[in-house]
Amino acid sequence: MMVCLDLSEVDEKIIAFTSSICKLLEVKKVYFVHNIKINELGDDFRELFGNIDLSQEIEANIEELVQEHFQCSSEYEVLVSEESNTEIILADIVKQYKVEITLIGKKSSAKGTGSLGTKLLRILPCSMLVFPEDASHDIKNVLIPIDFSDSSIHAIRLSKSLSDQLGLDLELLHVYRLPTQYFPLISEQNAVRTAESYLQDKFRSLKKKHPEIAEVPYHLVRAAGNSIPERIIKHLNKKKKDLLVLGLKENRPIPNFSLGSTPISLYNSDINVPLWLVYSEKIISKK
Amino acid sequence: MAKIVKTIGKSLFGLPVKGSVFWTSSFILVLGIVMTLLYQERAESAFESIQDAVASSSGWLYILSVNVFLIFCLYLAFSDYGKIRIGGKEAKPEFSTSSWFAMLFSAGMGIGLLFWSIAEPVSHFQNPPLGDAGTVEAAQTAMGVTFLHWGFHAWGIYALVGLALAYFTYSLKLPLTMRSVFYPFFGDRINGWLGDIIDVLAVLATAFGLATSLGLGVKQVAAGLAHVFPAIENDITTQVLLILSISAVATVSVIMGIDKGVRFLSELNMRVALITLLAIIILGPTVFIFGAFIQNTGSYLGNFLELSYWNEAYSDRDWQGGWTIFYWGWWIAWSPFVGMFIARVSKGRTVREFILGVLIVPSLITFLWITTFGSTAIREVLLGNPAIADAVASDMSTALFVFFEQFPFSMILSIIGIIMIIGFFVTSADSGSLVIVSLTSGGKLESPVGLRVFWAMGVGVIAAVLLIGGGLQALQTAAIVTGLPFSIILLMMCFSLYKGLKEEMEEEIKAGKTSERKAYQQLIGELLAKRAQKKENKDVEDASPENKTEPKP
Repeated sequence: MMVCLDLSEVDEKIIAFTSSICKLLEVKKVYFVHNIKINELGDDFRELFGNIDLSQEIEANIEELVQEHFQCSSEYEVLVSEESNTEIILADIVKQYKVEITLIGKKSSAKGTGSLGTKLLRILPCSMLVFPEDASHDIKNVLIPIDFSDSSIHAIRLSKSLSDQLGLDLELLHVYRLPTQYFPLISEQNAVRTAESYLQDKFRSLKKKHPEIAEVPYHLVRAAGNSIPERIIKHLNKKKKDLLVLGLKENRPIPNFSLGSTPISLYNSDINVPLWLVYSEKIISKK
Repeated sequence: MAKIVKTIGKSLFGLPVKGSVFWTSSFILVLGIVMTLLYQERAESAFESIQDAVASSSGWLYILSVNVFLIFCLYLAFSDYGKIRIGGKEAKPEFSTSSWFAMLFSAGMGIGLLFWSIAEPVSHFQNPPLGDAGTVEAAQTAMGVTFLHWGFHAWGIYALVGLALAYFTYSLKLPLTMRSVFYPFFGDRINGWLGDIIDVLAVLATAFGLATSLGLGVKQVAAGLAHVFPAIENDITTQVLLILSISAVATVSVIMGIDKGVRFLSELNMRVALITLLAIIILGPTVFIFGAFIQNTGSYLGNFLELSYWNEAYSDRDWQGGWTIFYWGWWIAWSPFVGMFIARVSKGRTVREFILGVLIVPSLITFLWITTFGSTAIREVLLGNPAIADAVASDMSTALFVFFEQFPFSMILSIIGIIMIIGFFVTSADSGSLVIVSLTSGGKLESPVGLRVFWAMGVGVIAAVLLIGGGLQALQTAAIVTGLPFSIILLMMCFSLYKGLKEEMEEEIKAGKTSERKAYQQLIGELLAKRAQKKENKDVEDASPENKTEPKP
């Protein structure tokens, strides 16, 4: 596992969360990583701090934080780099150390833009766990929004395996929109009935194909006037879920034209639960 | 870069106008009116000669310019500049998307569309730019060329001017006037004679562009009245009387103010126009209209490049001088008017939203209108009914009413048509006077009613005089001639807008990087300071007497 630290006050919470995750998941080794943005330290800053070995100081600082908040027997290592491009160095670390999951913190939108996180979502060849600064460590109820794609199924299976290990409660959610081109030829009521019947069939065949998730409850919800991410967040808050799991599809070649995909929109929203974005092995091996 | 630029230092006899712009443009307009009235007989041939000269020598410049405007707009829309928000990052759109679309369309919809939506396609069908007249191919060409004149190029001109005005007014807080758009080039010199020339040209372009529309509208109203009430003669006297009376109604609208006058009439106009459109679709050949709409749009898109750049280079005909060049001149002349309007309603939109919204939505609705009226008219001719074609050949202003005769409730439709044209006349004159007042007072929108009445009546008088002096020819020439110098202004506007947006983007990136850099420096600084403090405390602790270890023997 790789844990990205940015030296802010959120680092302590992230390290404590890492500790609780490692206990649950028996993680072999954790890499606590920070990349010093040398280009953003101006000449006046360097003059003020003279010949201090910045890497050493930051490494020592992180080491102290880890010793204080990381109460787990998993092995760990602190890595501090000085590269101009943070995303590239993190991607290299993931490949070099065969990291399967990266944990990043997320401040509320008032405090940060989350632009690095969005870039990491697109670039890093591993699954991502996003820990909002106000989230709790206590995870019991998991929500898995699905769209019946392979990536969704992978997310369900991963969550099921976690649930079997840790006794978590899972719930599947599908948010649908009514196609508008049929109105006013058919009534809204009929359209809803038809759509839900079709989706119930899809759920049934999904469970038939994957008997291990036959007992997992599911929920069908209409988007109505909201966007799909908004509807997911509403359901998340209403049902007081502790973890959101999403399957990620492969990156589109022209990210600028994907006008707000669901994972990116959920990442950019102010949700108070951890967000686990999973890639299937097949996609990771392609990256 | 944002600076507040003073444009009015003094008022003129207590009126909030910029004297140099007001008097110069008034003088040129009055001179034009007087010369036309004095040399009435020679005016008509003079107008024809001028139009021929401009079209033959500068037609290529018009075509090149209009294509440049459209390409430039598309470039801005699809580049990173498309993300810039008009009015700043925090600005929010004032109107919902659907209201905004309706307002965009109403900005361009008007007398011109009512006049030409039948006359133009049928005219091209009978006298095509290429190929044989009266054939199915001629019908397709006619619709393609009509779509060219009323489609993306026209709205590209409005989008350019509207975006420039919106950006410099809302984002850089400069006055809402044409000279503000040239701030990146000329800096504070836009307050001097350079800016005066730009605003004077804008006033002349707006006045003549508006007068052209009003003149066409009045011709159509006169034709309609003569059609419905045969006792009324469709001649110059009727047209001039109509201008005077409708201008008087426009004056009442001006006095009532924007909220009551123009807004009420605009909404009424749009409702009546929509009902008329639906009536023709339902009463007419509905399936044909839908099929033709799709085919016409596809043909326009498929032949887009060829249509856009064709300029009769290998022909000795002068077909384009009377059509494409006239239209490009007319739209360019209208652009301050339409541009100012769409600028005022578009705060909070991104550059991309603005350009794509202005290009696509009004164009599509215009295409539907032109298909409904124009393609249906051509269909009638193809089916052997010569009435509409004869009307277009003899007097284009009667085309709409002869068209209505082919439908049930034709009398009602004709009366509705007359009311619509009068309604558009009034709103155009009212809004036009507001725009001209704004241009002559350095961007002020609050102005004495008297000034607005002056310009509303003034534009009516110009239209009347042009009709007296040379009729449709004179109106077309006025549009073409004023459009030419203004097209050079718009080319410069492209550079100016690009420069302004580029500087804004660079500042945004710089500001973003600076604040990120400061925040990161602060983090590192605090961390190092904390560690240094810790070390110091530890050293102090180690050095304290209780901690001294006894020396070993």
